Amino acid sequence: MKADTQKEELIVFKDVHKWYTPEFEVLKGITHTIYRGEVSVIIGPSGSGKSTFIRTINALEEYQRGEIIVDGIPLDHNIKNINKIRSKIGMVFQQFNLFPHLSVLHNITLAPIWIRKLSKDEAETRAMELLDRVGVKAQALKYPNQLSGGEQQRVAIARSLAMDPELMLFDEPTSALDPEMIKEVLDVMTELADNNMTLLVVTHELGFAKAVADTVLFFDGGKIVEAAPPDEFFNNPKSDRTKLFLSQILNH
Amino acid sequence: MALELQHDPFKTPREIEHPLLYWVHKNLFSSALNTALTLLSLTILYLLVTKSLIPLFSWDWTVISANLKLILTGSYPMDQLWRVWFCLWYAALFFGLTFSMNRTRPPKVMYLILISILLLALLNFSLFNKVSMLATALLLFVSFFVGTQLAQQKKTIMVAGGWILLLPLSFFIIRGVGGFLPVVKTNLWGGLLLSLLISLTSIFLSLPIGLMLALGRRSSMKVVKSICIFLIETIRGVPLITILFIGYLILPMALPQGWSPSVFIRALTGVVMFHSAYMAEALRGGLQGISRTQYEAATSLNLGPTKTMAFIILPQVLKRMIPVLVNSFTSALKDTSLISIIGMLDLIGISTSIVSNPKYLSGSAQVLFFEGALYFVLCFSISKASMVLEKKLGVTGNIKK
Repeated sequence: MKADTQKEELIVFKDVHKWYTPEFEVLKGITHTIYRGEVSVIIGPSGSGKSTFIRTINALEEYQRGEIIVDGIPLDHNIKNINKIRSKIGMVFQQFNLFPHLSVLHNITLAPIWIRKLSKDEAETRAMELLDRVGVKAQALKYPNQLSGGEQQRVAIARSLAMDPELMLFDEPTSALDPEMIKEVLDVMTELADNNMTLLVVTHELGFAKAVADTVLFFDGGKIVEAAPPDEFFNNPKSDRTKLFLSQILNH
Repeated sequence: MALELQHDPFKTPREIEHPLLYWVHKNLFSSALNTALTLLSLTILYLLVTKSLIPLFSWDWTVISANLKLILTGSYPMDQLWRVWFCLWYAALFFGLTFSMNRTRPPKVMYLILISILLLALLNFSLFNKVSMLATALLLFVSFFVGTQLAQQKKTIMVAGGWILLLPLSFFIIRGVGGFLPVVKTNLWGGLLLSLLISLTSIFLSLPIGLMLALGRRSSMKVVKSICIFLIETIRGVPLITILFIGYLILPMALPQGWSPSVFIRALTGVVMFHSAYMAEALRGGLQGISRTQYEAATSLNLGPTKTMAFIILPQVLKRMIPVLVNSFTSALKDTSLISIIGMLDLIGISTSIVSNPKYLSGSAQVLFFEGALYFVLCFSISKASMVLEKKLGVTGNIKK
C-alpha cells in the first residue's frame, strides 16, 4: 500500500455510457478516477462490462456518452488525441496476441523502431533488457509458438513496456494459462507495481488483488458497484451484491 | 551368448525364398478385384504406349522447327531479336542471384536448365541464337557464384529490385522508344513472348490492385466500399471473353476516332482488371482469416492502420495464401490464351494460324502437343517454386510422420 500523499489524477471517467444498441448497454454510467502509481484490480461476473471498461481507455472500444480524460487529454474522436493517449498506454491481452510471424525480439522491437523511431541497435538493446526483466531473455530468437503460455504472456508484457507506457492495462492476463504458469506472470506484474507503474488489471486472481491492489473495483451489470481498498473490500464489503459475489467465489 | 537371427522375423519363409514373386502376388494378385484392376491397368498402359508414346517419336516435327521463331516471338523483327534475348539475359541474371540466397552450391534446377540449354544448342539453330543461349546459361551460373560472395542483406535488396524492374524494363526494351531504340509496334509481338508479357503483367499488377480493392471493400468509408464492391462484382460477374470483346469492339466505337489505344493495351487492361477482381476476393478471404485480436494488439502498440497492415497483417496473409496465389497465377498464365479470340497472335493464336497454312495442315497435333508442353513447363515451374517458398517459410502444415 502506498502513501496517499499528493495524488495525481491519471484517468478520469465522468458518467461514461457505452451501448451497442439502446437496449444493449454494456457500461451504464461509470464515474471513477484512477491516480498515478495506483494499482486497480477489477473483478466481477462475466458480462459485467469490466473488460469493456479498460478497453475504452485506449479506444479499442468507443463510448457513446460521458467523458474520459487520460492525463489531461480528452478521449474524443480526434485521432491526434487518441494517438497521444495510446502512446501512454500499454495493453496485455488474455490470449497474449503476439505476432506469430515475428520472432520474440522482433515482436518487441517493431513498434519502438517504427513509432518511437529508435535505431535498430537501441531498440534491440532495450528489448533484451526488458526480456531479462521478465525472465525470458533466453527465448529472444524463438517464435511465439515455441514458447509456453506463461513465457508468451511475459513477452507480451515486455512488448508493451518497450513503448515506455505510463499506464498498463491487463485484460485477464492469466485466464488462459495453466495454473503453474500463473505465478510467473503475476510476479512480473507485482514487480511493475513495486516500481510505481499505474496498473489496471481485470482478473479473477483474488490473491493478487489482496496483495498488490490499492483499489478493488467490483463491476456488475455495467456499473461499478463497489470501489474500496482490498482490506475493506474483502473483510467488510458494503453492498449485498459484493457480499454475494465474494461468498460465491470464496466458498467453493 | 549372442543370439543371431537367421531370418527377418517379420518375413514368412515363402517371402524369403522368392521375394519378387511374393511381392507380385501380395500387391497385384491378392484378390479377384485386385487381379482385375491389375489386368485393366496393364491394358491401358499397353494402349498408351503403343498408340501415343511410340507414334510421338515417329511424328514429323518439321512444323515446329520451321515455325519455332513464330511460335516463340511472333512477327517480331529478326534483326531486333537481340532485345528479347537481352530481357532473357536480365532474367537469367536475377534467377542466378535468387538461387544464391541462403545457398553456396547451385540447386539441381540450375543444372537442369544448363543441360536443357546445352541439348538445345546441339539442334539446328543459327550461330547467333546458339551463342545467345549459351550466354543465358553462363549468366545464370556467373550471377549465382557472384551472388554467393555478396552479403545477404545487400543481395535481398538487389533481388527484390531486380524482379520489380524486370517487366517495366522488358516493355521498354522490347517496345523501344523513338530516337533510342527503334519502336517495334505491339501488333508485331506474338507467340510465347506476347503470352508471357501479358500474363506476367497481369500476375504482377493483379496483386497490388487486388489488394487495394480488397482493402477498399473492407473499408468503413461507405463511398470507397461501394465503389470497390461495384468494380469487383461487375468484373467478376462477366466472362473474360466478354471483357476482351468489349475492349476490342465496343471501346473503339465509344471513343472518338484515333483515341482508342492499341489492341494490345486494351487486351492487357482487360486481363489485368479481370484477374485483379478475382485476386481481390481471394485476398479478402485471407484477410478475414486473421483474428481481430492481431489488429487490437497492433492498435494498442499505436502502430496505426497502414503499418499494422504492412507489418502485421499482410505478411501473415500472404504467407498463408501461397497456394491460393499460385492457383491464381497459373490460371492467369493459361487464361491469357483467350486473347487469341480477339485476333491476337499469342501462343494459341499463332499456332492456329500456322496450322491453317495448307503446308502444315497435318501438323496440328504436333503444334498442340508442343504448346501443351510449353504451358506445362511454365505452370509446373511456378508451382515448384511455390513449394520451395512454402518449405522455406515453414507453412506447409504437413503432418510429420
